[in-house]
Amino acid sequence: MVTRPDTSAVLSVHGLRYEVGDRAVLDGVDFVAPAATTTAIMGPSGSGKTTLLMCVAGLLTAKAGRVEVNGRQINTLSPRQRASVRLTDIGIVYQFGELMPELTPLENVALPALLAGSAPSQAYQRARELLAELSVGEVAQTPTAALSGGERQRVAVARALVNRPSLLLADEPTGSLDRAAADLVADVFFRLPQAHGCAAVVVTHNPRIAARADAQWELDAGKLTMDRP
Amino acid sequence: MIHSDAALARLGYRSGRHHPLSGIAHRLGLLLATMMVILAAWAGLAIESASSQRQLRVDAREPVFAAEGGEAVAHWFESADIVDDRQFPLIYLVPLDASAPPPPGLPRWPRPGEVFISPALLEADATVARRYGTYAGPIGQMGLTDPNEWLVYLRPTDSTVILERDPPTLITGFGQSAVRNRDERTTSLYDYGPTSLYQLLLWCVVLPTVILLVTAVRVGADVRDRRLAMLDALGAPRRARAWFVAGEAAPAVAAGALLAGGVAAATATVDIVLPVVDYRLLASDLRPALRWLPGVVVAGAVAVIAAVIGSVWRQDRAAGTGPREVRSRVRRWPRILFMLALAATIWTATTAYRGGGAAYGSRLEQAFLLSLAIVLLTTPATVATFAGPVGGAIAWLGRRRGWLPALIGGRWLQHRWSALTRMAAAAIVGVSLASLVSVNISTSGSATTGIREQLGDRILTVRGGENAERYDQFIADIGAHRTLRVLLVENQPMLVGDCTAIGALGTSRRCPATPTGWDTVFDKVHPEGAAIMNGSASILVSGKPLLSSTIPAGATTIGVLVLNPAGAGAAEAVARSAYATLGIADVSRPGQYSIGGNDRLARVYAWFALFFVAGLAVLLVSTVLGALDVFAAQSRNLGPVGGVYSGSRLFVGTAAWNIGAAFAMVVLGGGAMAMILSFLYIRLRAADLAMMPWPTMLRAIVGIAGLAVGLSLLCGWVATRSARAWRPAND
Repeated sequence: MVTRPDTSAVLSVHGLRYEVGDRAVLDGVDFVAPAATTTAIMGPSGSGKTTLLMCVAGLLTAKAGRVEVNGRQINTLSPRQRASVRLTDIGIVYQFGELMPELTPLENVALPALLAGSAPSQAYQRARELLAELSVGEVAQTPTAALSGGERQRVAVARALVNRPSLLLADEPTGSLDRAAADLVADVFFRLPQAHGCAAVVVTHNPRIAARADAQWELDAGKLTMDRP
Repeated sequence: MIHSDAALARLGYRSGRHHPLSGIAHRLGLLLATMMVILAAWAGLAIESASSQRQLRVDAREPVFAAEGGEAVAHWFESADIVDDRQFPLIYLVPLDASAPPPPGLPRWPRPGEVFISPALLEADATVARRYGTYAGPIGQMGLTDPNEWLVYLRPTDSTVILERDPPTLITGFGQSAVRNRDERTTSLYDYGPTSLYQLLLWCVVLPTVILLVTAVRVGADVRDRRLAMLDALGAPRRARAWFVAGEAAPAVAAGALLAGGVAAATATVDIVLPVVDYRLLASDLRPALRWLPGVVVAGAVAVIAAVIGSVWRQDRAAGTGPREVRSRVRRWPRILFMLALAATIWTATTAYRGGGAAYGSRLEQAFLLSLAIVLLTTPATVATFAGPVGGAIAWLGRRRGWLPALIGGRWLQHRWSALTRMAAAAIVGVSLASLVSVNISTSGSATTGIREQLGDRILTVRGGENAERYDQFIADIGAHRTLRVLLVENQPMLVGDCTAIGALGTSRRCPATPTGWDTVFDKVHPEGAAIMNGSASILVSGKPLLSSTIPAGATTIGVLVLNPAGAGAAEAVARSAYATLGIADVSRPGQYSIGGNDRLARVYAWFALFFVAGLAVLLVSTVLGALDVFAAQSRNLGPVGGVYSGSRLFVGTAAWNIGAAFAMVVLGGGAMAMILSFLYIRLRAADLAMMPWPTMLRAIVGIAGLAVGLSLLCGWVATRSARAWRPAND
C-alpha cells in the first residue's frame, strides 16, 4: 500500500531511497505520521529500520525521495539547517540512551533546551518536570553512569521531549531492556503522543511493543508495507 | 600455544585499527616513545663512547715528565690564552731530540717561532695565526680531543724562556704516564664531563621520555580497557590479554625501533654538529658503541611492549552487572609519596643550608636530587587531585549561568581527572625543570661585566715570568709613556712608570720620584686610574698600590699594565709584541677571568639548554598526545549533541574550559611547586644571592597559555568533526 504525502501530517515520507554500495537498503519508502499518534516500524535485523529512522531525522542523506516534517522538506536542507530542525522539531531516543556519563540526568535532559537558547532556570525546570513525569525524578542528580537501563532510557525520553518536539523518533528504545523494564519504558513512550500532542515513530523488532502503536508498518527488502492501520 | 598467541596478537593489531583518532594517537605515541627510549639509551652509550675515545686522545698527548725517569727529548710548558673571552691551552715546545716523535696531531716539531693551531680556533679568529709567531699549519684530528677544540702548540723564538719556568719542563715523550691519578695537563677547559652529561640526560631526556611513555601507553585506554574487559569476561587468561595488547602495539613499536635504530646508526656513520652547543660529534667516536646498538633497539622495543602490557595487567573485577561510575585510575599512593618526597627535599635543603651549602656530589646533594625526582614525578598526580573540585565548581558555574561549554567541560574535568594528569604532566614537569635550570644558572655565578663595559681594552695586563730584562724589552717596544710596570716590594704591589704614564691615571699634582700614595699624587683620579686603584682593572694589582717613576731596589717585576687608549684595535699588536719579546706571555683585559669564567658557564649552560630543549620537545609531544586522548574520548560522548548542534563554538568552548582549566591548574599547582623547588635548590646551595626564576616562570605562563589556546582550537576542531560524523550505536 502506498501513501501520498499528507501536508496535515507531522511527518510525511515519500519515495525514500537509500543505498549502500550497490544495495538499496530503502527502496521507495512512503508513510505518514499524524500528530498525537504512534507509528511502529517493524522488521528483521538488518532490514534497514534504523537507516530509515536516521534518514527521517536527517542524520543520513537519502539518495532520493522526500522527508517532510511539519510540511518542511528536510532532506534538501543543509546539515546546519537539519541540525536546527532536529533541535526544535524532532526528539530522538536512541537504543542505548546515548547520555553523557559525566553530566547528571537533569543536566542531560536540560542540554538540548540550553542549546536551543532557553533560559537556564526554564530549561532545568522543564527537565525536572519531565523527569518527574517519567518517574525518574528521584535520580535527577544521581551519576548518570549509575542508572539502570530502564532509568537511562526514560531519561533519554525526557531529553527527547525537552524542546517540545512535534515528532518523536525512537530507535529500539526497549531493545536493550528486560521485559519488565521494556514494558515500563513502552508505557511511558506510548502515552507521550496523547500527553504532548506529538507524532511518535518507533522502530522495533518486538511485536509486543509494536502492537501498542496506532499504526504498524513492516520493512522488508527495502519496502515498507502497512501491517495494521 | 605459539600459534594461538600469534593469532591473538594479530587480532589485537586488527582491533586497534578500528578507532581512528585514539588509535592513531596511541600508535603515534608508541612510535615516538619507542624512538625516545632507544635514542635516550643510545645517547648514554654515545656519551660513554665519545668520552672514552676523547680520553684516549688526551692520554696520547699528555707529556711524560723526565722526572719520572728516562731520557728527555723536549721541553714542554703549558700556558693559556684567551680569544673571545674563551680560554684555551697554549703549549710551548722546545725539542731536544729532533728524531723523537712530536705530539700527536703535529707532522713535525715546530721550528723556532713557529706555531701549530687547531682548525676550530683558526676559524674563530684568524688573527691568532700571527699572534704567536709564524703559522706552520693546523693540528691534526689525532691531536685534538674533538674537532671543536681550541689548542695551540708553539715554539718560542728564544728557546731559553722555557728554561726560566718552574716546575721542570723536561719530558721524555707523550702518552700514558706511569704515574697514576695525576692531573691531566692538556684537557680542554670548557667541555662538559661525561658524569654531568649523564645527569643532564637523566633529568632532561630520560624523565620526559618516561612521561611520554606513560602518556602514549594510556592514550585511548578507555577503548582498550573495554576490549580487555570483554576478553576477561570471555575467560581469556592474562597471557592471552598480554598478547592481544602486544599485538596492537607491536607495529608502532617496531616502526619506532627501526627509525630510532636508523638514526642512531647514522650518528655512527656521519659526523653531526649538535645544535645550540655547536659541537661536532665524530662518527668515528661512536663507532665502538655500534656493537651495542642492536641490543639497545631490541631492549627498548621490549621495554615499551612491557610497559603497554603492564598498564593493563591489573584489571579491576566488576562488582556488579550494572554500569560502573566513571572513576579515576589515579591512586592515593602518588600523593603520599609526593608528601614524603617533598618533606625529604625540604629537610635536605634546610640541612645543607645550615651547613653552608651541599657540596657537588655529596650524599646530601644526592638525597636532595632523588627526592626532587620523586616530587617531580608525583606532582602531576597531586595537582590533578584538585581537578575534581575545580571541575565541579566550573560545572556549577556553567549550570548556574547556562554556559553549556563550562557545564560540559567542568563535568568532564570533575570525572576524568586522571586524563588531566596525563595531559598536564608534561607541562608541570616542564615548568619545574625550566625553573630549576634557571635557578641553577643563577646560583652558579653572576656575570660581572660592568668593568669590561667601562674600560673595554683600554688597560691590558701583560705577564711573562719574572725576567726584568725581557720586560724592559717589551716596554721599549710598546713605549714607556703608555706602560706601568707592576712590581712586588715586600709582597706589596707597586706601579712604576714614567711621568706621562702615571699622569694618564688622573690629574696629577706631581710626578712621584719615590713610592708615593695616590692621594698625594693626584687631585683627581680618572676612571682608568680608579679601576687600577680599586683592583678591578688587573689581576696583578690590588689594595691601592704605591706609585713611583723609579724602580726601587729589591723589587721583582711580575707584569706590565699597558695603557691602551686606542682600545681593541691596538690590543692585538700589544699581544703580538708580548709573545715576541717575553716568549711565554699572558695578555688579559679588565675583568677577563671573571668574564671568561662566565663565558665558560655560558658554554656549560649551552649543554643544559641542548638537553633541556630536547626534553621540552618530548614533553610537548606528551601534552599534545594527552590532550588528543582526552578529546577523542570526549568527542565520542559529545556525539549525541552533534545530532542537534552543527556549529563548532560549543565544542571549541568545551575544549577551552576543559583545557583552559587544566592548564590553569598547571600554572598554579606546577608553578607553585616549581617556585618551591627553586627556593629549596637555592637553600641547598646556600646561594643567598641567587635569583628566583620569576622571568622563566613568566615565560612559562605565556608559553602554557599559548599551548592551551592552540590545543583548545585543535581539540575543538577534532571534537566538532567527530560529533558531526557521530551515528548512534545499535545492534
